[in-house]
Amino acid sequence: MISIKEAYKIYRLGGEEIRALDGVSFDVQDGELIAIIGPSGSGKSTLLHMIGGLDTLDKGEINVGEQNLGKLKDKELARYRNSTIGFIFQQFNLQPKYSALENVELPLIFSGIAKKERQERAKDALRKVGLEQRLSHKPTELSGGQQQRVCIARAIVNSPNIILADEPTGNLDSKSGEKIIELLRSLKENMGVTIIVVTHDDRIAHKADRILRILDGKIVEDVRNGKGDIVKEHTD
Amino acid sequence: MKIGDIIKISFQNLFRQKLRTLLTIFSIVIGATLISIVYAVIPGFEKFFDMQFNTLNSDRLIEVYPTKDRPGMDILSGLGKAPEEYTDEDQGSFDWEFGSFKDHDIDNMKAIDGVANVYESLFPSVDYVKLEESEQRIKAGFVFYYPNFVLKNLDLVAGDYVNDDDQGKVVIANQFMESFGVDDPDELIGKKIYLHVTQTSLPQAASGMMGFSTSTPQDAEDKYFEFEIVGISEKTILSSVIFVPYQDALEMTKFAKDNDKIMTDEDTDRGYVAVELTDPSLAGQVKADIEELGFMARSYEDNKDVMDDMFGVITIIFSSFGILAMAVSSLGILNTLIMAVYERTREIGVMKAIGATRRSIALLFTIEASLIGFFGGILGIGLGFGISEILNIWGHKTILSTFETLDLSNVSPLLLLGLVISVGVSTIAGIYPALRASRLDPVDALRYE
Repeated sequence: MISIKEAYKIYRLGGEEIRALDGVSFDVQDGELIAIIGPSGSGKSTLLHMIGGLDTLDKGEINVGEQNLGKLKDKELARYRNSTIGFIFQQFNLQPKYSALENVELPLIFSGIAKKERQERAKDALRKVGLEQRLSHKPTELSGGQQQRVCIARAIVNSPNIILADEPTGNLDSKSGEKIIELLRSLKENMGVTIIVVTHDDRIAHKADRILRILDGKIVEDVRNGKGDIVKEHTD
Repeated sequence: MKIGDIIKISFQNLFRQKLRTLLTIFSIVIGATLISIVYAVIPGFEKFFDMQFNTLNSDRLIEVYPTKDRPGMDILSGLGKAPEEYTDEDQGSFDWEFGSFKDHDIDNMKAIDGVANVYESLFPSVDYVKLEESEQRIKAGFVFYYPNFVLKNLDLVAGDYVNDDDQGKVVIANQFMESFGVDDPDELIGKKIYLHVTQTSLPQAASGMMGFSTSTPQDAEDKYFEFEIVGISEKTILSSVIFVPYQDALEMTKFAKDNDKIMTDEDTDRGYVAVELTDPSLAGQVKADIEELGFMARSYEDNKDVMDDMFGVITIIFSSFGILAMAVSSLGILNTLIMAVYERTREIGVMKAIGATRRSIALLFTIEASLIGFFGGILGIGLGFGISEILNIWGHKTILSTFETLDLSNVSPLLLLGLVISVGVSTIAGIYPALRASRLDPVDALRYE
């Protein structure tokens, strides 16, 4: 379970105070698929980075399972990001010189797993996203949708409990985007993983178990199951 | 993260910008090459001179000069200083006194514990030599008597040594074979050789330590001294040396200077004594005892230290050029890696997001720098050794043709020093970029375009 209590994060830009997180509190149950929506600069990405252990709060706390993220040291945070979290990016962020297989192996390299096991697990992850035929392809030889699936394979290769996706369909055409949503949905169902998606995409929001709407660093709506209409009018 | 994976990834990263990396490596190669040349060439010279040094030397030898300090040293030490007041003890403004041994000095030295014997050396002045049945005149630059215990450290290619109490026998330098047009050294053994000595009316003119031949006055008497060649030495840099027994050297010197008082208390040119120790370990004690008698003494170790110091200084000077070149190229490495950190900022963000520790990222960049140094070092050793090998081959065909034993391309573990230094310098240059990369804020890095 993820538990966020009274989270504050304030940036100063040119003398102006930006409240990226302004007293955010909510819990996420294991295996939930949550969509976080809201206009640009509303604090969605900041929230995702906080849960992913990439950034630290000014005030408040985030607990993931037994761990209080604010108390973890650099090495422990790295291990947390490596084995508890899987990141999916809008820009895919694959290493252009590496093959699909090598890209997926990367998190396992950082956790010090031997080559043979690494390759087995990376192949398995690529099989789960339907890319078993594309192991040796470089990112430039893959379509946008395929690249995003490599990115998903990289996110799940270390069997994380939580997947954090930042605009995963933002760079894809609608058909490819659709497939990615299906894939995320099936991962949640088959692996029981918790998925938090920051999105502008209505279709993702509709498939989510729960939708959180953020505005100026505050959660303004927290809607469960099928109440997409209310959410829709607030998305931009 | 496993070290093998770090090295592999660093290696891959290195060749993302091939041209830039190659240029950076080449800048290190220059320094590593210089250092390698130094360590290939200088030990060769050192070994060569060491060998030459040992051919006419012995660890049982102490050389003694009749004055406490080297004559003329006060010229050097007085340079730039205000002239001192003259005292009654001074003899002229500079102490230019070489001094001369007396018989009792020799006896005093013989009486010292640990001294086996004391020999005075003689350098008769010889104009030229002739081989029997030949009219060809060959220059003989160094004709001298040197005690047998030292001479025995010189290897012979044929025949035998001359003993201290022999008469009419000589050992000649190897290179005389070439001058005489003889290939087989054994052919010369037993042959007669004539040493031509010209008398000079000026007792001081033709003397001197080195016995160089001087101009011949018109009215001078001259004489051939007959010897039998009993030995041919190995090749040394003293290519025109002839070793004669003491008694002959004395006769020749007496004739040359037209002076019967040579080697008596009336001779003022007794400037060098070779003291033979009963055991090399007594050198320090005997040397101190001799100095107490008011003479200057130099042991084998002293002379060796001077030579070692000289080569040490030469090595340091030349290596400094290499290290300086490397220090300059380390700025190139620094620049290359800082560029790489900028280029890979986003990638570093991603690596952090998927679980890389600061340490892993710092190591990736540090090892990348070390690899630049490693490849630069390897190429530098190869190039340096190649250049010294070419120098060696070319040198022996031209200016160094007589020095067969001088090897300018020495393979020794010292060559690895070039590699060690270049890896060291490069790794140090990589530390700052590595720390910079490892401290990047992952959120900023992920947003970096």
